[in-house]
Amino acid sequence: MRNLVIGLLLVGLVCGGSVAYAEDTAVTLTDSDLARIRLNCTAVQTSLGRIHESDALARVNLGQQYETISTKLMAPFNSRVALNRLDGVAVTQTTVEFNNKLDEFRTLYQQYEQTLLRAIQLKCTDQPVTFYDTLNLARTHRAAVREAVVSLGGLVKQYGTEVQTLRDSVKGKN
Amino acid sequence: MQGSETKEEPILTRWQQHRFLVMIAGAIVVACFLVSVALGLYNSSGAAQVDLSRPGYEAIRNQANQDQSSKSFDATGTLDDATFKSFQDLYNARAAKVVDVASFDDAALSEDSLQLMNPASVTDGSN
Repeated sequence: MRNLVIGLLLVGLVCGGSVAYAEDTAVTLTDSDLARIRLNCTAVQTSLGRIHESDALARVNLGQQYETISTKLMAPFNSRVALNRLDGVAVTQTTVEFNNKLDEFRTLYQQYEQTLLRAIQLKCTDQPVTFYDTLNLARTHRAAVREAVVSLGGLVKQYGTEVQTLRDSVKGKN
Repeated sequence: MQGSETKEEPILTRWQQHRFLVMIAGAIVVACFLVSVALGLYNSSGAAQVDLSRPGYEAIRNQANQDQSSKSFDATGTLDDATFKSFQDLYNARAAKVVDVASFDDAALSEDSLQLMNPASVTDGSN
């Protein structure tokens, strides 16, 4: 009985392992696909290098703007709202969300940059499948970074609207 | 009594004979360890990703935003309509640079742009 259980476990492990392996290595790639990847990947890596450069620039410039908005505008404005005993719950909440999203953006970009760099540095003619998988992963990571950028833009817009609402309420009181 | 005194040479162990070399080697080992820790922190903290002074970024280094004198909003004082207006002017100017930006769009890494699976060799895949 014990041997049977062990045997079943082993069969399960082997089957499970082969399925994962098949997924990891992208079963849809045929020999002609691999030949195409080998043929084109060096040129693609050159393009990826340029994208890597322009993304670094975008990261630095966007990061600077986000930092300025958070530390030099949102935080002092919230303090001033609190000092003047106005209702600053909405703006404070948005600031917290913005800062959390900014942390997420930094982490996601780091993840994306490392994946893209791996794709650039791979010996793609020797490892076409790994290159293909890494490139797909980089696409997924880039989409996540894009999503964070869109969310941050949305939060900046939202904060602006909340400031306007606050301004209107102060105007209404006077 | 004889006037001359004979001074005995102290017997040095092997370690004592080479202590200067050992000190130098130790200093190098400690320095290598500290540098590796520093490099690890540099890479894991995300500082490497925003460091455009690294090799390979020469072309874009000058395009980075050099604006160091961004105005800060004063955290103290009254909040009247004029103050709101001055804040909104500052804020909207910054917001315009981050809202609806096209950075990190999917197109750059798309198959259409990279042409990885193109049967013919890729000529130029710039975005």
